Amino acid sequence: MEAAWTIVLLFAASSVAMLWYAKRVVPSRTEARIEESARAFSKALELRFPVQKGVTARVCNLCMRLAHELGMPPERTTGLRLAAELRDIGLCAVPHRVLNEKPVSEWTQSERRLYHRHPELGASMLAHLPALKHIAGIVRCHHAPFGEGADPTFPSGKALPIESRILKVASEYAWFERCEGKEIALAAIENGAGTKYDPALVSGLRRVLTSERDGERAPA
Amino acid sequence: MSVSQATARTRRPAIWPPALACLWGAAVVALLALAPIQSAPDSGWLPILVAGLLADRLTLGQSASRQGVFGAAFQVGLATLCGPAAVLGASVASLLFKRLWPPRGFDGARWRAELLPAAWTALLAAVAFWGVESTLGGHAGSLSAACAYVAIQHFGPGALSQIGLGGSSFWPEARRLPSVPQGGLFLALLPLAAANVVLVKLDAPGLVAFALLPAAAACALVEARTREEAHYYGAIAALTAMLQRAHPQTNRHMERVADAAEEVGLRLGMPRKRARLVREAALLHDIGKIAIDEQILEKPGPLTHDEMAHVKRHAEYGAEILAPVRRFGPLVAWVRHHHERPDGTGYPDGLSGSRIPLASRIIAVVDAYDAMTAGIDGGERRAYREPVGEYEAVAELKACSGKQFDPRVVRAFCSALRRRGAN
Repeated sequence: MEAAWTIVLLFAASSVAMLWYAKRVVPSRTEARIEESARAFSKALELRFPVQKGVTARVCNLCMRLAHELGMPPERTTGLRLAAELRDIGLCAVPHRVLNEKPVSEWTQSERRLYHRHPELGASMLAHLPALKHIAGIVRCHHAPFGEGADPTFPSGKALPIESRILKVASEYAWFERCEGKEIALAAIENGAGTKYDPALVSGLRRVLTSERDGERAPA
Repeated sequence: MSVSQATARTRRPAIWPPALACLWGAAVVALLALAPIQSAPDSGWLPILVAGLLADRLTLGQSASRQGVFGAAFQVGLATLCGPAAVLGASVASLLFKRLWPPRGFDGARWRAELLPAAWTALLAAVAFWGVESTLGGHAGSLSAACAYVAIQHFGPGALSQIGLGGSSFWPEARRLPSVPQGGLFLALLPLAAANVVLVKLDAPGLVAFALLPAAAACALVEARTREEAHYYGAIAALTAMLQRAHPQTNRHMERVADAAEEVGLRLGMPRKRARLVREAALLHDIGKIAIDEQILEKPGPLTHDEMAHVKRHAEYGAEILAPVRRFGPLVAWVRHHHERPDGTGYPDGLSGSRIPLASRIIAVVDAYDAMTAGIDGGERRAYREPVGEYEAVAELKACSGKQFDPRVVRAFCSALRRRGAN
């Protein structure tokens, strides 16, 4: 009799422990592993395209500030940050020499076509990871134009995931900024508001950049 | 459009679907209601069979791990109460059921692949059941017998395929079957055992509900672990996909090298888990080539000094890429040293002899053989060298053994090749 009760208690206690392990410990470990593998992917990209060094950090920074500016809940910003890190994973398909050495103006038609497929290729690579499925969706649309009917293969306007819209503005701004400097880059982005970029995000970007300048001035 | 919409919505998978609760409730009710049948097994056949089929049907939409755990728990109960014939009947009926009204993704190939292992093991399991029950006797006897029965049912197919009698040797499709994490089975047996003890000792059938908690915990654990594993293998798949995009001609090379490396590892006496790690290292050994210019790799003539130095860096790059992932820990060194030579003239660190990890030595041999023979039947021939036949490649490996390759590994690889040739 006594022994049977002991067994019942033992099972109850051990199953509570097991539940805690399954619901808390394993998922947080999985989270950590997702972070680790994201770092491995971005390391691979960085080694393949040394030209891009620094751009990714800038894009991540801008995305986070834009998300904050829009009041995005913190649990969604994790996905956005991962997407910002992994957005160009599909660029592996573009030949090494083309991206690293050849100026964009000299690219051939087929090289351009390959480049324009990179969001889709990246999404298909990320689809291998069940935990990153939603990020694959963001990556797939991260160069999709905002304007109606510009590209029928993608959704447009507000139907695009908000993360993709943020990523488009941030990544294209960061690239222009690196090539042409801040003023020209911001002008180019503002020029595309409504057609290429979400106007709300373009004004958000302007606010973020202004506060950045204020921030720079403040300590001096 | 649909893809992006489906994936952009971040939805947490439902962990406690009402269906699962209903299933467990039904199982307990069945256990309670059918307990007296022990004395008269003939009368309880039909309801149990129906319950089993229903359970099977309901768990079909669930993950493979949940199906496995639930199935095992149900079978133990069934075998304890009604004997192995009932379980056998339920399994056969459920297979027929699936054949007649196939669920999504369950095609003829999958059916054939499941049928044979089930038939192989059922016989063995039934013999074990009757043996254990008649030796031990009583309630404890029938419970242990049921556990033995179900254990054989679940581990049987794997064990049989180890000795070459499994379903996969007759139907290659059997390889595609989702594997149920095996730890989950034992976790599922425990609650049933507890329920049984309580039922007998306390004479308080209501307490069987306690069995629900451990069973649910087991399900949650198996599911969480499955997700973790899926992420690990997904990361490997995604990395190889990146490499394949960068260097399309490496397509099948990776898989062949991985298969051969695992086999050589086993032949050299590595434990199964270790050999599996070697397989993963072999899949990823050239991952550093992502950072290498394809035009240099595919260049027909000899490389200049600078180009050679650039290509040689891929071993270091590979280690650098894998380093952030903690679970790739041992693989980092193996990938870094897969171009070292026993005589110390390799790169990147010029290690010699036994200071080179065994896994790296294995990968070096297998990789060299595959690179030499690749393209003999057309397809992925390398621009910089003519493919050679199997015999010439083996002769080359043997000629370089001791200098470029570890002789022990070369011997193991050659005997693996002979075995493959004989089959």
